[in-house]
Amino acid sequence: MDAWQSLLYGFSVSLTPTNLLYCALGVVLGTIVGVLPGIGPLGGITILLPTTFGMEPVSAIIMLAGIYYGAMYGGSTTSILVNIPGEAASVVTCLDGYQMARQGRAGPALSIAAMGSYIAGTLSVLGLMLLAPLLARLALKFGPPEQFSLMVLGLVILAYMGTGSVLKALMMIVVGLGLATVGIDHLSGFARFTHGRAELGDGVSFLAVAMGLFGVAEILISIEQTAVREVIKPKLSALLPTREDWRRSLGPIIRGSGIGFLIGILPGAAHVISTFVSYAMEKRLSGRPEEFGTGRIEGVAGPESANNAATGGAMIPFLALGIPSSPATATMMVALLIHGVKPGPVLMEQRPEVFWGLIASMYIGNVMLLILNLPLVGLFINLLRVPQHFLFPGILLVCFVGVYSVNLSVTDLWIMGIAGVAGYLLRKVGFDTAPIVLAMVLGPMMEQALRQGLMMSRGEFGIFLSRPLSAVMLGAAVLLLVLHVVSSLRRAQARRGMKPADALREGPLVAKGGGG
Amino acid sequence: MNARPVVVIGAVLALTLAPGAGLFMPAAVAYPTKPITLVVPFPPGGGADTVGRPLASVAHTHLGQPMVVINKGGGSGAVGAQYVANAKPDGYTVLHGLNPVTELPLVDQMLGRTPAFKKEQFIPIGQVTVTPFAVMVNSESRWKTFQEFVAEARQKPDEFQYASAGVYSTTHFMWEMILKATGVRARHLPTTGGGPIMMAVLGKHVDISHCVVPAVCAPQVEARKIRLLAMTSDKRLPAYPDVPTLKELGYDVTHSIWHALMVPAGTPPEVVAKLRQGLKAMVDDEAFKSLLGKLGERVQYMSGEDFEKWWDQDYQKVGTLLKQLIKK
Repeated sequence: MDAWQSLLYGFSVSLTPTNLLYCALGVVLGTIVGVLPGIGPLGGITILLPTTFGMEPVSAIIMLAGIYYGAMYGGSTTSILVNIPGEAASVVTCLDGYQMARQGRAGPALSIAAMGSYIAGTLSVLGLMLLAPLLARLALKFGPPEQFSLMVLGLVILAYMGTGSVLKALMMIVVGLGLATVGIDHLSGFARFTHGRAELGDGVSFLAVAMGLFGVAEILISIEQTAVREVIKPKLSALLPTREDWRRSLGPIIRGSGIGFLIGILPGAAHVISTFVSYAMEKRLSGRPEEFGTGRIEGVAGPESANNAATGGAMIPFLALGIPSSPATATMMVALLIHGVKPGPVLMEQRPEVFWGLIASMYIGNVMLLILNLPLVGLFINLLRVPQHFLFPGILLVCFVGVYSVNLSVTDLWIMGIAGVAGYLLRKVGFDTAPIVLAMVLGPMMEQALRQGLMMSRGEFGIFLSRPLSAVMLGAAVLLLVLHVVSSLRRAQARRGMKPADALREGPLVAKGGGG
Repeated sequence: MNARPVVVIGAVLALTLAPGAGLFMPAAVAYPTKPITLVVPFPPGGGADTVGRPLASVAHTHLGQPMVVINKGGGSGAVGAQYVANAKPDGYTVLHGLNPVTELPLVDQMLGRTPAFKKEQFIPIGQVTVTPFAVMVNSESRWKTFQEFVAEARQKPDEFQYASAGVYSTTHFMWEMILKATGVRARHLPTTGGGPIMMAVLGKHVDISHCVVPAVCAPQVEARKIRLLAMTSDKRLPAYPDVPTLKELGYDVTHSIWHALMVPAGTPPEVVAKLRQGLKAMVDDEAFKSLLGKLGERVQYMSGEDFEKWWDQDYQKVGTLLKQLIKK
């Protein structure tokens, strides 16, 4: 009741022509940085921060927030069309989105991504509005032990996510975790596996590896397949999802919204984690896990909704606690602080126009993004009509510029090149490379949380079980693993009964799909 | 008739020699002719960023060229500092220097690691400001004063835990100084920065820590989520007249973060002079003062020459101190 009145007040703030303009500007810029691989929401917000010094604080935050959630709309575009994630949060979208594009269904994939994003974005603003103070208190309960257990659970879910065998996914996870150990250890300050190279001080660039494994490797593979390239050409008539697409996508969108919103509240790479949790969940619920990775629309709808909802969740620690959990929200916080506005527990009382104006603008911004992105589907899809001898060099150029522009590091370009060749070879022998990238995101956080947890308990591992939240998550992880082993053993047995040859070839743990 | 080839050859020669000729004609240096990059060695949104960005935003008026901020975070500031140390010394790459520029080379030296960079690789342009810390606890903590913390912690060595921004980070050293001065033994929980520290205190995952005054502390103090026990500054802060300094309490510890611009050694003196002039004008700019004021901070300018002298002394001081802390 009170919230709704305040929201009306918020709309009166955000519907002024100036603020509408800044909102539109923010979401347009957000879509652009989302589409361009290499430059993400953080880059966009950082570049525009100085221009906000002269604005009203509410206008400033409306614009910067627009970039932040707008980028999640754009990120799926390149994933679907050319198999290059525009953002880390769109890695998972490559799996089924790109397959859909190859089957000439890029239009429905892009449309459902935009609509899912809209629904999830709006739902998460609703959650932010109604539940912020409550959930902020929950976020505080997440100390290092809870974070560690969450990461363990995340890794187990990640193993399910692979489109092929679980064993192969686990191998890729180990590679990713290994890569993640390179660099100056944040807790002790020691350089690990850097071989004296300063550029590796900050670790192996996650972006360079992702661009290599997806972008460069994809181009290498496509060069081989010149002849079959025809299938990618889309039918412009089939831009919108069919009723069947909708029926299959609605559940994933709603579930993805919930998952994304809740994971978004937690510190760390919430956007990325929420996407693969959503993907794994849809795969399990679908009843036909083996079809995932071949162009199922659920595999686009769920993750793309989840990463948008995560944005709303991520605003909670920043607005309600005054503690930003990502560099992007931290930069937004600077924008407010420079205007003398203090995000945190007192924001709602002291500066209601900023809080409620922002909330209202996010409803408006999501509508704008939908209106902006749906027609763009028709435009972007023409990218596939560009002959590949122009398209491929163009994509490579964007990859190189995108990776270089982040750290101005030539080493990153080498990493991208090596990752590209490695990705090509791995895909040739049937490995799915997405788990490498996602494990690289989880690895450092998991290690840090483990060590911090042990420092809190003086080395007692019991701390992970004695804290209730942590114990529940570890329990869930063990349960998932046991369920999986049991069901895949059972499936292998059943298969051995019918077709002994098949079972021998695939073995119990490598049962295809692995979603038991 | 054949005047044209002569002109062409002349032009080619002139162009080839021009860059070399520049070396012999320092007076002719035109600087700046393109945007200047300000490297902030921490991720966006941190304490360095909050000072560096407003500063860069007024550069255009006083230097004639914009200053573009890039964040090169990592390794407690080592990655960004090393990047500038090895950059071309032409005045177009400037470091937003902070305490780690002093501490990290000393730590590397003491631990026998290959130094990422050395102090001698920088020429200071001038100090912009100084920000102190406040010792804080969760507002539900039973310690109402710093003395209460000291009294209880002395009786229970290694019982309580404090959070810092990382091992060998500037706040780790600060806490070791505080513990030494108070005779307290407490456990260390390294994190990665101010945000995680605040989270740990609010969530009661640690017993005590610190925050940058006032930017990071203020909202939480106003909401009564945290309590400030002591200041690490020389004098009490006008914003918190009731919070005593550690010095007043009888512990000889002062610690604060300095923000100073620096260029790589080897930068031509004319360029350094121009930047020093420019920085003075930038910190005097009313727009910058008011931006900083809204963060609750104020300009504490020190000229490049003065800072150089102060820095040399500080380097010795920090060196002695770190020796005691690391070899304990």
